[in-house]
Amino acid sequence: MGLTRNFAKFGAIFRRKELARDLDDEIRTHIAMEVDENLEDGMEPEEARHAARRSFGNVALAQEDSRGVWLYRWFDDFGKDLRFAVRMLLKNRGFSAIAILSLALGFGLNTTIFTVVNAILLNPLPVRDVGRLVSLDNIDTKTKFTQARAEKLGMSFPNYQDFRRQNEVFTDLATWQQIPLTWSGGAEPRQVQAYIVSANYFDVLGLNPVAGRFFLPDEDTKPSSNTVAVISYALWANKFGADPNIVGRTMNLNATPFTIIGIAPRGFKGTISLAPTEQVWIPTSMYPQVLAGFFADNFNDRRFLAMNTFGRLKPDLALPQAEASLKTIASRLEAEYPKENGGRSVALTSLAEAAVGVNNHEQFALASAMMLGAVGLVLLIACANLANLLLAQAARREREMTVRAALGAGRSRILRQLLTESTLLSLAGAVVGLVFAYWGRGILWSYRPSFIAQNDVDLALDSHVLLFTLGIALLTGALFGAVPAIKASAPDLVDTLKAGGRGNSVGWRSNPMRSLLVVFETGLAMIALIGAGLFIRSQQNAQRIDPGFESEKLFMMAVDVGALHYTEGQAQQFYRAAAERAATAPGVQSATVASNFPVGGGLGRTIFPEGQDETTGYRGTLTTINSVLPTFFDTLRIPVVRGRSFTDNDRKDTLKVAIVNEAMAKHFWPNEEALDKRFHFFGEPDLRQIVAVVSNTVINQIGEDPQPVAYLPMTQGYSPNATVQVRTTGKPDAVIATVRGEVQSLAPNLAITNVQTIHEIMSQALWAPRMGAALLTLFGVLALVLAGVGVYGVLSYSVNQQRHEIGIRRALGAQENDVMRLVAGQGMRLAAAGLALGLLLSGVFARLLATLLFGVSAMDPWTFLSVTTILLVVAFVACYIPARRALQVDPLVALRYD
Amino acid sequence: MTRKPKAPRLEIMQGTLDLIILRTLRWGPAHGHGIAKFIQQTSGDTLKIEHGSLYPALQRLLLEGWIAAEWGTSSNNRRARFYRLTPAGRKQLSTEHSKWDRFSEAIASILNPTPSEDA
Repeated sequence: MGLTRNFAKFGAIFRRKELARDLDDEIRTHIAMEVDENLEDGMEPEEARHAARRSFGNVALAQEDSRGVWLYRWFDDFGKDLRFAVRMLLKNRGFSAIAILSLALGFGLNTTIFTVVNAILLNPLPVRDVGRLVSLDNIDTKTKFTQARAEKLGMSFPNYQDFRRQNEVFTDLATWQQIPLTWSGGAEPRQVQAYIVSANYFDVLGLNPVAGRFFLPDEDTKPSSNTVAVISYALWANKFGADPNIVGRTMNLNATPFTIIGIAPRGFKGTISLAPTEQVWIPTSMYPQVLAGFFADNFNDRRFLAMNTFGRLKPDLALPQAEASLKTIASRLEAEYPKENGGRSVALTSLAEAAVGVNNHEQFALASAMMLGAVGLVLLIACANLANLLLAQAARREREMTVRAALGAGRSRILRQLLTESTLLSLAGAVVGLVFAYWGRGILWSYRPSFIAQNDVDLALDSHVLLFTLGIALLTGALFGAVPAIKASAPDLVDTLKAGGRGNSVGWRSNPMRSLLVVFETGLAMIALIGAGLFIRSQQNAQRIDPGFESEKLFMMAVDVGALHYTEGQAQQFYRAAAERAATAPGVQSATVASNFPVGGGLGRTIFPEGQDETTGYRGTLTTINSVLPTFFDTLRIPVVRGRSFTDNDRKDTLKVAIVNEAMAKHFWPNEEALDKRFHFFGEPDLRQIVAVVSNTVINQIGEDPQPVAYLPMTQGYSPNATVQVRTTGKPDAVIATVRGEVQSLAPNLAITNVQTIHEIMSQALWAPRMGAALLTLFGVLALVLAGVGVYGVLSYSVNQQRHEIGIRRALGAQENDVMRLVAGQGMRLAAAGLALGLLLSGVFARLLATLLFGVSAMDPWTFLSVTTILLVVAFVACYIPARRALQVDPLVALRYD
Repeated sequence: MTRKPKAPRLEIMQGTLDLIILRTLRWGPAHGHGIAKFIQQTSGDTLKIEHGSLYPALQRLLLEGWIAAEWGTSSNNRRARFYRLTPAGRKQLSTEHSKWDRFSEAIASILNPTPSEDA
């Protein structure tokens, strides 16, 4: 078989050793035989050996030349193939341009998507030996959670300290938490992202400072001491003008002067892949200065999962072993502190995976795989089209190939020639594709949600990306080159083609390769379109989801009075004043203050209904808390179903009250009236009486199951960070600046952040489904167009080939309908087979995507039905046009044609 | 590549040596030593061929698919590699042979011109 021989030849380069050994053996035998003969001729042994050597000549030269033959031949062939391929491609400029452009489109799309996946998911942490770093998180099996995807829960600070001391699996364990700080001292107070970290944080990551130093081992031990900070390279470059004398300067963070001691390496922004590049790190000992309210009060509470932790595994230690050992410590801590740690154990996650959020990796990976899959389908279809074009070309070049074969070119040489051509095309496509990707990533990135800054993710076309593109280019070249190449190297097929010659039709028997391409393309297009269809449906559903409050004509701004070290009294006064000032601004209907962002989650606390507590074995339910001013429900237009709203009479010293949403009422008192029921928080004896039930709103993300929420009066559930939420009479944009000015005038040092309309927030929350639907639709349409063109191309070619047959049939009296049925029927049968294949595969793939969909089944009949219809219509058009042309064949011309 | 400086020698030798080897194998499979002996004997020692130069030529012919090789045992019980002509090699031999005939005829007629009418 020509193919095996070819492989043997390729292999020869790599089997040099074996080859050389054979040759050595052979030469040795040769000389020995000569010696034997010489001895027989009566020579002395010594002389016989000399004579044999003489007649053989230079042994080393013979060996080297023989080996050279193999190697030279390979390079020589390659050079010839390459030159010839370039000539062929230049000769067929039109074909080459179409091929390179369609490949470039495919490679460009694939590279663009891969660049984003690479930056966010695959390669996110510029730290030393990231493979040995793991995130250590709590798993709580007893406390109830209502949120989806919240299995892994962070770590309390005291537990972190115990794990650090007791574990035998980490070289060291570090802890961190993200906190925004107010940076004052400039023209206007602003917020800067910061991490509060253990002193060993940078050591565990294996980083070295660009300038200055990192924290000393004991710099996190004494509370409220060591006002030192490390800043990120980007912060140094952007905000300090890359000042070479930065180390030693001070920075006012949350009204506390910090000394800058070092600069982190370029590109490092913490262990989160979607974080701003401007960052500050301060030691955990400074928590009283930089935290406030509940967070500060409970920082040392063993139940409060305030922190995240990661460690570097000792060398040669496997993850499961390490996890088992840590679970032992966890159960010891559970036994020691049953009240706080009851039902809690730990789990390890690779830190690189946790970089997109410890519970999010699966979703990210799935979404990435889906996007790469979709663009992969487009590429495969483009590839199939090219294979078809090459097949047509191969038929045209049959003479050339025959001549070459007659001139002694081995079948494998022809195969290699064709593969060289296709690979060359593919590589040219890859180069253009990279240019597309260079623009494409910019375009794609410009559609990112607005809370991610332009430079938060470095979308570099780095070595990973280049390797990826090169890899798919080579693979693609081999794939679409192989089809015509195999055909050219399989003489029986060529013979069939020749024998069938003019009467050749598209059908399994006469032309399996082309038929396969049509089936394949239709099938792939089907999968791409099903994906698009499901996501369009899902997005429509997501868009229709009622957030439970009126999101238009509403805007917000965030404040952090804790950063200004306000006392609770000052803060409460500020909140009331801010709401009043905002409400009296022109164009404002009402204003309120709440601790949580709309659709932004919130602090979760464990709630026990009256009669239950942590000693009874019931572990409560972690529930979102929202502390609000009495005007909250009015301003957001959240209907109060039963009971009364909060009033100004709900003060710190009056009866503790709460308002719950229907989801919470249903969760704790499924068959009872929740009104007037009482509950308490973990660690607090006070019972809070429910005075109203309000309807549900979206809490964490659009599409979630209704989440229980407990609303507290701000006076009875103080929060040092809050949002001012304002309902306007007209468009919010006109009013925002005025209200912002009013609030700022109340506290000139306050950093006012996240000023945005709720409409913007909602559209950000819908970003993922919208983006998914948009991209998949784009890819689906591309797939559809390419597949349509492909089917059309195959059938047109086939009609051309069948002119003779059609002519004869017409001459023998075949009606238009008969010809139509003949030509279109062939195509439609293949398309139908493709659809069946596509349906089958879509069924499999769609199931995998189920978790990414909103309120639509992966087997959504509407989607499957409409996609099938669309594809049938497109396939029919692609078959109809060539069939029409077949009708125009003049029998006489067709018969004379050959 | 090492081949470059030696190219002229090989170019001259290549075709001829290949032809000779192919012709030799017409008689049946033979190992390297046998081929060398055969050439020596039939050419009456006119052609001085270094036995070593056979081996690159054999590799080349193998690569072209004109000959095939397999290990066997020689008459005096040595393990030797036997070469035999493939059908493609047979075809090649006849083409080359007739080419050579025409070539040598042409050379001969130039060296020993038949007197023409004009001369």
